[in-house]
Amino acid sequence: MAPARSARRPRFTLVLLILTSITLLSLDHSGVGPLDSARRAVLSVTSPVRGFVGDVLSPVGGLWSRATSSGDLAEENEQLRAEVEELRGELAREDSAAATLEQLLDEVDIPYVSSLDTVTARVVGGPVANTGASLEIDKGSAAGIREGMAVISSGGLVGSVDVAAPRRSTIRLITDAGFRVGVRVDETLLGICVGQGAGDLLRVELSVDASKPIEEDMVITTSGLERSLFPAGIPIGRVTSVSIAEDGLTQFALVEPLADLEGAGFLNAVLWVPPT
Amino acid sequence: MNSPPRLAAIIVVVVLAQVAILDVIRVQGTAPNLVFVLAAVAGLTAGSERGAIIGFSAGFLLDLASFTPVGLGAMSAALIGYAAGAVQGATVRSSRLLPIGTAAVAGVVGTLLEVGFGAVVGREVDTNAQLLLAALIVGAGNGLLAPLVVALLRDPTPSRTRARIAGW
Repeated sequence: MAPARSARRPRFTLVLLILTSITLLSLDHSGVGPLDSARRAVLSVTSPVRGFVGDVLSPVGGLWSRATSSGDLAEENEQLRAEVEELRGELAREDSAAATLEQLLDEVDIPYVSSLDTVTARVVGGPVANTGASLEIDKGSAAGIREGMAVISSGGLVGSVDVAAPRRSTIRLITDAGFRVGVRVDETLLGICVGQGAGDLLRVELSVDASKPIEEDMVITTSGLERSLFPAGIPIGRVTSVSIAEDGLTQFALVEPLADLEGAGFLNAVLWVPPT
Repeated sequence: MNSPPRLAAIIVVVVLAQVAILDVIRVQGTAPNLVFVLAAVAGLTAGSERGAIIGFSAGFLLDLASFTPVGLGAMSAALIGYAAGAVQGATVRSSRLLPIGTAAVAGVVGTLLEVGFGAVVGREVDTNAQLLLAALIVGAGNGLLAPLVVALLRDPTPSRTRARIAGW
């Protein structure tokens, strides 16, 4: 009987110790106060000893460290250099992405067509021919864009869709010599705005109304009259100078476009067609 | 036989040596585990039960002194002490190399046990290759330190006094 009892007792002790360990693990995981206090008490004793011995042995530790890992230091150095380069690249990409996002947010914030549907597209190319003022965007008929639709930015009218392929569209800019749009000046006077070529100011032709003279800095907008190709109220430009024809019945205004026609990164196509 | 106060003092010395001295001397970021050596040698010299108790006590104190979950080292060292006692029971002839070999194996097995139990409670685990390397380093270091722990655990009572006590 004695040998069986003596064999059982160590096993019983082991099981008891394992159960105690599991209990301690659970209590530690729960952050029980007594265990934390015990740990703090032990650390209060071991930390000073560790600090003192560490100070005494630090030269030995340094030598030992160099002796056992010198070959690894060069490899670690190379690895760290590679990681730094990669992180620099990531940082540059993130900066670029942040700038793009800011530009997008600036350019798609368009309060004057809040009631109309629009499609945001990225400008992917400049003029597609040697003549004419145009841009290319990365959305087309697959996104609902049709020829003739107005294209705008946060500043104002940019142009109209000239050609709409499924995934690309060409935009004729308002400065293009063939561009024409009905306008309203200062909410009351009506006229026609035409482009005079890339880089040139727009030219607006209106009838003379002595009671409503055009002045510099007045803003012109799309008129949106019946059969107009564009919805009403889209800002086009600001009057920079005014002249009157010799007959005294017609006046002309030179207008500077409000939209940034050269540096735009994102544009919006207004999904609006004139009512038939 | 070592008295309980002496055993307690030995456990404290071993844990202090582990956190203060061995922490400075590492190979590939790994240090030997004196607690496993103590548990193994205690099991070899005093049997499974005492080996388990001494291993548990030293492991518990080390858990408190380091930042491992309390109970993790205690459980691993208790198992090591018990297993070493079983080795002692199965050994027909003792050898000076037995404590060294047992301490080395205890280092490898104990490290793997600790990592395994740690994974169960949610600790991150190194890759297999790194873990194996760490276990081997601990085993080798433990084997080298085993004679020191054997000397520490040796009964300080002179042999003639032991004989008188035994009635010889």
